[in-house]
Amino acid sequence: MTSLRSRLLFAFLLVGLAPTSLLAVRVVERVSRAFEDAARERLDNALHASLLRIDRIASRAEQQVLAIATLDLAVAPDGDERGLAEGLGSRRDLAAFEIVADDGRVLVSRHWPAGSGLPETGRAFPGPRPLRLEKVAQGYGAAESLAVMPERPATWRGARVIVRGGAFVDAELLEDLSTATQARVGVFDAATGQWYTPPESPLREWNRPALTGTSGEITLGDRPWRWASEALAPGLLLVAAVPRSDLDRVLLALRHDTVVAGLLALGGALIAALALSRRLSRPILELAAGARRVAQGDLERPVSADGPDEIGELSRAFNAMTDDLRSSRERLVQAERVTAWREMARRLAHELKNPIFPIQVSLDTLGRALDRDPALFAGLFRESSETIQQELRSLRRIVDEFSDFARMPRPSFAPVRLNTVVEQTLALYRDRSPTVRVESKVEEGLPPLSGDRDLLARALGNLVVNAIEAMPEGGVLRVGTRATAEGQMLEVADTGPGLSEDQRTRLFTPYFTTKAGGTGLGLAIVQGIVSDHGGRIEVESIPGQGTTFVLLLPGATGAPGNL
Amino acid sequence: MRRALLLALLGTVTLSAAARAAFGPSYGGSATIAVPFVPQATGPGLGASTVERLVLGLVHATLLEIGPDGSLRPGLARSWASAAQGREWTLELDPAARFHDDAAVTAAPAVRSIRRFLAGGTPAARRLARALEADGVGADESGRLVLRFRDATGRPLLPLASFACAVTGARGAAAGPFIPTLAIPGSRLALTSFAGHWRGRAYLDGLTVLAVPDDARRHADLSAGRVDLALGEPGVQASATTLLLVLNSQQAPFDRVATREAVAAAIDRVALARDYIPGGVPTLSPLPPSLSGTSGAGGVPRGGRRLAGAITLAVATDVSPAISQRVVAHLDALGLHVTATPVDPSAARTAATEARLFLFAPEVADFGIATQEVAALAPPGPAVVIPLAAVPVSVGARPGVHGVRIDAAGRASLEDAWVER
Repeated sequence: MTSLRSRLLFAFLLVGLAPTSLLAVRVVERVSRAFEDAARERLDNALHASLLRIDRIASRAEQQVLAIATLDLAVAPDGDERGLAEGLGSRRDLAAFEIVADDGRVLVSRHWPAGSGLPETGRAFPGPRPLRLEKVAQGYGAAESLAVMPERPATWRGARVIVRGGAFVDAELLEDLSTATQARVGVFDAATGQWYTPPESPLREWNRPALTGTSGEITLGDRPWRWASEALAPGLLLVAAVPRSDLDRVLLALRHDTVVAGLLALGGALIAALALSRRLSRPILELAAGARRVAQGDLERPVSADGPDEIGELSRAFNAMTDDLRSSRERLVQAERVTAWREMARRLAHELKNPIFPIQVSLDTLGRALDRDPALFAGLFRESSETIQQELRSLRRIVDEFSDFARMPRPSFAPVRLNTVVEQTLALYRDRSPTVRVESKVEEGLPPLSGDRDLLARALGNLVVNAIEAMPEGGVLRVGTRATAEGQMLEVADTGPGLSEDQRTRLFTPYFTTKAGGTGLGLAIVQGIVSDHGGRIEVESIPGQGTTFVLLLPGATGAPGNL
Repeated sequence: MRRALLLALLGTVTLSAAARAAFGPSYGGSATIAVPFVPQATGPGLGASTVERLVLGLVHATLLEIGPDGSLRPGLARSWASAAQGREWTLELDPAARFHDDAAVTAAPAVRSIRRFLAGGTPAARRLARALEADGVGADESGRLVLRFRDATGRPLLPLASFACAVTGARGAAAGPFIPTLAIPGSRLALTSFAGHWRGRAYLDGLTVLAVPDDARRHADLSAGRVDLALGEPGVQASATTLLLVLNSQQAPFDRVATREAVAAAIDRVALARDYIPGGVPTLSPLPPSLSGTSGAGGVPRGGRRLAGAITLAVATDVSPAISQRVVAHLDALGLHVTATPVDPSAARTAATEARLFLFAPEVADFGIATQEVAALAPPGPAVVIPLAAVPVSVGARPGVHGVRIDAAGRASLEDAWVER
């Protein structure tokens, strides 16, 4: 998560995920609430419609009972009481019909003819609705059924009676209500714990209804239900229930769809984030690569600067900077080249002038001697010719050194163990000065690196010679190697007089020397060799304490022991 | 002219129909009788219900029969005689008697059938078993059936008239006037007349016993001519059964005498018989009037005693639902919550419920045997067996169907039934 691209990706995902999640939660919550409200409304409608239907039944039955009490009984024939109950009930469409005497005996009954002549056993519910619990003939016995039975006093056969008739709130009616209202409708008698429902109604599984309150949820069988109730009469509740599974099913589908939509959105955000972060990071990465190239001295390859945005502006500025650097470097190189040529010319003139002058003097002396004293000439000739020979050798050495510098070969790379180079080189110089103690401290197990053994030995030799020569009064020369993060390091330190700041800055300039007889090419050769190996030289020097040259060479070429 | 011809033709048709009835029975044709249910099996048995007794009478034959006057009549045994001062009885089998598989009815299957009967443990069988010597059933050299009794008793051969003692052959074949050819348990039983019946083949070629559980539907089917005969419909009848309410004195709430007495006193037998049982008579005797010779209103019902509790009433399916509902209404008026459960008639006699309601017809139309049979219905105790009404066994027939008989034991016999054709 440290790269700009990762951070951009994370930010995009976060930005995409948070609103999507919030939206999903909000949508599910709103839909849930909407469904809850719809379920509640559905239950309320079911209860309202059921109550309305029951009240209509009661109202219609009241009219029919009134008609029987005031019209039909007056003209009813005597005898066949069972036929009378069936006839009147059938004609007035009253499934429940009975005439009850003043003393409470059932005189005739359509729905429970077996009870005729016996005390009535029906139970009336208190309240404005004419609800009763009546015995109804069923099979070999009777069943109790809830009935809407308004009643009217009447006179029949000279006696005061009560005419009662209506319809049953039975399975058929409740099934009809359930179908019409799309809810399960039932009636619960709290006094007896009895349900009145269609045969297959799940409400029958509600053994001990906790019908406190007017609505709630309950699990019947293995399904959750939402229910609501309304009092038909004290202790008699009309209950409507709808399966919660409908709501759950929709919510499940909604959650599923939301998750899918969220994942799609996330996927889209991810793709967009990848594309955008790539588009943003690519020029930045390219800038970084360009910067690394510039740091390595490559000023020839500009970065692409196509975009119109800030990154493009930055790239263009980077390229302009690179161009400026390249121009400056060219100017600097040109200036350095001129300076170097001047220095070389000055040094060459100086170097050549030193031997030429004795030669010229010797030749002048020989000429004068030849003119003045030929006998002297012979003595001078021998002496002068030695001088001339000596200076000519000096000239030759100078020419050879310049020739060597000019003819510095290109390195021939092969696996080289740096420690071996150190050992072999120090063996050559260890006894060069009796006053200088040579110490080596190499790191064991350094792997081979890619390099030219001879050139590296030459570079090390130049440094060792310089160090020894810098300690004419004696001192300690320390040569060491060790591994670094970039490769391997060769360190040569002396305890000589050290270098001034000016000397240190001009140290690698060709033909710059602090020694009386030096050509100033030794360190230039060292720098050339190290540069050809892709490395660099660092110099630390404290005047009066010594100087340390550090050669940093790039990485190993293979595992230890390959050579 | 045309009108005269038409009237003449109509008169001829009418006269010919009347003439056919006047000429008497004729062979051929088939009939369907509607019954409340069809028994699951047709093997020899007690015949707890009118339907079972009807089917047993169609399929099986007994050694002896009981006449309307209660006297023994020949069955498969054409004569019988006693010896050893009334302790040994010899029955001579009718040589013409054949089983449905055409095997002769001999002493061997008769002996085997009597032994099966004795092992069955019906009231009549128990009485015969008590009276017989050990291994007292056998045959003599002449192929006659011999029964040896411990003591000389009055009418010792009466149990042999039980349908549980019907004689069957070695392969289970019966010897009655009809052969079962198709049985759909609970729904339909088809029979064909047995040509080899020793009394001569029945008039009908075939007979179908059809289950029509609903009383009104049976009535309607008979009225519409969809069936030829219907059990329980007005027609030929005999007051041969008693409606009994048996209370289980071992279970609450009838473990209290007062409760049982309250139930016995609360049921209005007169209204029950009058309004719910066509041809019914209120009675205080558990035996049918043909055996008890008595019937009565049983006094004025006393209501108002409030009881409490819930009971299950096992109701035999040959009891009309209207009758059952009336009894339930009485119990309900007393304050009992009654759940009525229909059960098979034979199961109703032994159902382990708080109360049972069924029609009782004695296994054998004999006062002594029937009394023992009633005693076996419930443990002794006051008002445990509550007789409610004498209920006639009746068979209604559509016009053109004749010859149906019902004996004193409530057996509807179609052996001599015939249809006008």
